[in-house]
Amino acid sequence: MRVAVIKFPGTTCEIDVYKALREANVESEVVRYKEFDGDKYNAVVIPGGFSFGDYLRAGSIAANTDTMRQIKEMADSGKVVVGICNGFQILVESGILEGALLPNLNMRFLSKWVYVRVNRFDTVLTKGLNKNVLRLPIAHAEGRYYHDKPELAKRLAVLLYSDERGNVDERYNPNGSVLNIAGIANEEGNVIGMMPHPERASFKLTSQDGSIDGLSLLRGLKRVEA
Amino acid sequence: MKELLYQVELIIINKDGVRDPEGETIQRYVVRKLSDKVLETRAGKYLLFRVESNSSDEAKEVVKKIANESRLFNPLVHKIIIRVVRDESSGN
Amino acid sequence: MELVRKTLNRELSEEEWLTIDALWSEHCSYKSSKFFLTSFPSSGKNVVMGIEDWQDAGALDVGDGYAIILKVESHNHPSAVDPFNGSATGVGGVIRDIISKGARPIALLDMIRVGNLDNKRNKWLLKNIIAGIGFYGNSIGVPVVGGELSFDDTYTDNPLVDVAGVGVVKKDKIVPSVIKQPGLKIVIVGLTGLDGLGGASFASRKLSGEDEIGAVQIADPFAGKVVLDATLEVSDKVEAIKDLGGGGLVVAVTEMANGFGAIVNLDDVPLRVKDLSPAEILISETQERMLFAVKPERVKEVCEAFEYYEYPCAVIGEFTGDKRIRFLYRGKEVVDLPSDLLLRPPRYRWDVRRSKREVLNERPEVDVERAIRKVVSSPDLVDKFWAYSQFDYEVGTSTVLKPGEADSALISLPNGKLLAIKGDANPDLCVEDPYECGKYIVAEAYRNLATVGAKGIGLVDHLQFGDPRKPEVYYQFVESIRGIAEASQFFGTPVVGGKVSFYNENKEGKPIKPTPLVVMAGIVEGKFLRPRIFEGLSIVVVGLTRNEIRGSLFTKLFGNYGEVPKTRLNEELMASELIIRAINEGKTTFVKDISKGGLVGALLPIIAKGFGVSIRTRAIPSDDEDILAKLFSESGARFVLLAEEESVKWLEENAKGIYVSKIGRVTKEQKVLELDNEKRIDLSKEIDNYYYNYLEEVMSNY
Repeated sequence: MRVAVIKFPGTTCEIDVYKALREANVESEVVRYKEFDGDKYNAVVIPGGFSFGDYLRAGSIAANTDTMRQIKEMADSGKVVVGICNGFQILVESGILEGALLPNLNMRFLSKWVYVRVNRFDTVLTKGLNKNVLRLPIAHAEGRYYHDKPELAKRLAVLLYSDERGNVDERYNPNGSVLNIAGIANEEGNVIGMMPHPERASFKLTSQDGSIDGLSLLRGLKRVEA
Repeated sequence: MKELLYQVELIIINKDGVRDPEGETIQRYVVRKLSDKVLETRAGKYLLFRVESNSSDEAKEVVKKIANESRLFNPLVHKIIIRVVRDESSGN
Repeated sequence: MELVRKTLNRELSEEEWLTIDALWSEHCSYKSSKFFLTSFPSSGKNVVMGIEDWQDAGALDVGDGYAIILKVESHNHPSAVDPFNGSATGVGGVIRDIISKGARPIALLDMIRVGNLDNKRNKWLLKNIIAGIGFYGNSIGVPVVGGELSFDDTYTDNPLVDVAGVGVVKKDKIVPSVIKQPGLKIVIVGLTGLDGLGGASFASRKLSGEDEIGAVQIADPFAGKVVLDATLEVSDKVEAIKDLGGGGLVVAVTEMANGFGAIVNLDDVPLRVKDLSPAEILISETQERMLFAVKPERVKEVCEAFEYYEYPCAVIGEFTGDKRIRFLYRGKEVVDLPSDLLLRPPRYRWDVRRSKREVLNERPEVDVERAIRKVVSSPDLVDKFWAYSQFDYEVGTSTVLKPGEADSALISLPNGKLLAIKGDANPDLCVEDPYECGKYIVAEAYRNLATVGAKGIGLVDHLQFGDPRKPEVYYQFVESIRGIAEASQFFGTPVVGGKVSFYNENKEGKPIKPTPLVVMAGIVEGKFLRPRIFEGLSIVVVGLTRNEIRGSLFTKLFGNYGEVPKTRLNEELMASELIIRAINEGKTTFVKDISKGGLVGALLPIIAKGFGVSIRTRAIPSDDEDILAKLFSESGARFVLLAEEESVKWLEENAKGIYVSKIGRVTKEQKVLELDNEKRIDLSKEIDNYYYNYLEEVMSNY
């Protein structure tokens, strides 16, 4: 077993991610945050939800845990770290990924299916992807990506909110993110965070328009497992 | 007389006796791990107004009126704290 | 009171009076309603746990050893004063009732009714009600998959916030709410505080000067999520589970004791604030607490599950065989009352009187085009994206049909089956004829399930009325029950649980429109239908339109007249069965039941998707030539279908006494409704500015 799906108190998507990884033929297990031992895994997924109620700022309390100190070491040593939604917020709050995730511009929780354009194909999840526009759902109140150095953010960006043909425009920006950024990775591409939920676009029956674009992303973890 | 500029701070916080899950969670999972000297943590909202006014009392009244009439807080749950300081940047 | 003194032959302590107050409160004892509630059909082949079991929620068999738990509850009065926390704690309460059965909550529905949004306070209420439901439901990871949002001025001071929940559990793992043997330890989790005093019966104590804070309950969804996860971890290690809801600890302990006895040491109850009196500990309604009955040897492992999350867990006493409910505080017995007395409150049957109000009865002279424009602009019919987009409706990856996509929500179950679920109410009809209304809402829910291919298997109800001591109100209550019972008997959809909420009235003491509500669950046995619309498809009406227009959206806008719609139960069943067959045979791509707004209301979603609709009104099967009836009547047993030409024939041949008629087709003329090839009504303004924009716009500027 090489992939750990972390459950913090308040995490809500751990079973969904586990099921989607199984669909992608990636072996994984759900690990509660206190029991997590980074040495046992070569990849970790931090799923969505409301860790510690998202009190103070989304992800800020989880970022303070020993679990995240271990995950930072994993990231630094080149292991794979994926954060989805609240997991992305936690990665940013922990300083493992750059930038900040601020409250949506309209100050509301927003649940919606969006299109994103893939901006980088050199990350663990996007390497070898055969599509450049993906249909995925978002569901968050604090997803407005912010970076004080837009040039750097542009280089790190992996997913950009777009229309179905991949045109990136302010009109398709659901939350006011700088440069329409929906997900970023570190320079090396082993640490990636995104607001959209790939696990929710992994099953034909429950996916809008039957999209399984999320599954294509999650299959990237197969390479790690090998 | 030319009006002065004041910074008026409005703090909206749960009343004493009303639960504050956010403060409690921060206390339990963050604060308590770092210090045993902190007995309680409470969370609230902070609004800062820049107000033109002749006096600090008047500036305070303006904000108080806004808070009361606009449902900036729910009097059943919250209490408000209003603090006034002169805005030195105004050059007045 | 005299009754109690006489029975016990002694004076009672303050704590004992409070105990009796709480147990005998309307909320906990159903003293004004129980007599009639027992008339609901509550058994059947799918019923695992019905209403008579005196449990918190009902259970229905969904095959392969699984059962679903159904629960509906309102939080109307708390939401009227603190809409954010009121609606959020409403969600929490429903969820805790579901986990009390050992079931994993998998879906929520919210049925919201507020006053007109021209009123600033109503906007404040709605905004916070939706935000509160999202705050709680999203945080605990249970998707809100459907609901209703409608408007009526009788809800201005008294909004209705109904939340329904669905849970899933292995049939043989359902945990009871009551004990079956004494000798078990009583375990409480969570801290007890001052908040929530004043719920069932307490005169709240005053703090901070004049302000009453007792009644305010703050929602803590994070604690709710911890309780959810940990309770499901321990559910097969305990003998009974109960949420600490209305009436607090004293009610939960007494009800769980189930006629046996209990002894509780109040000093052992974990408190949030130090200076609570024994009376306050007894009846505090602090949220996010649970009560367990546990075998002594398993207490440690049960508490460990909660302590992992740093969540308080304590043994506070045990269940005894002496049929006495006793509470100790600092070594002194503050309550010692017989179980029997507490669980058998005096029952009331109030007077009934049919209201004799002036009845309007004049058909308005109204231009058809104007009527259509006005009906399609009704806030009740607009797109509700503003509301449901604030809910995490995808969490759980089991939401097959999304909010707004069809007439019923559809979710997948762990056994691979598909569960349809829908809540329905019709206050405009109930105020006219509560008996017909009772039948109508059950039939409407059954129809709604049929539109996605599902057959109803059971329901829970929530009966919301004004003051039951007023004979006109009590009449409405009794008549609604008669209607709901009759229809659920007929459809084979037993009532497996329910709730009653009285005293819903405005500041002047005027009651809300009677709002009984049913939430029906159904199973797709074969195929399900995901609605699809194409240009060129035939528009088919199934069912006979009757000129029974009283209590409709049209008459609400233009003045009431005519007859109320009568629900013909067999016709309903035949029509719904035809629809389910058509879906399974692949004979239709889109089905919508005809209800609010009549035929025009049913065609609206097609037009809103950017298509045109051309119909011949002569082709609408009807018992009257009146065009207003044909377009706006809300009489039951009817559907609008979209089908290929050759499927229309199949429908006619298989109709078994149900009227089927092709009335027109879907055109490419965007957002145009064409009547009889002559009247061309361009609705793009209504659709663009109103249908998709109304809520966003009205809620953004206040």
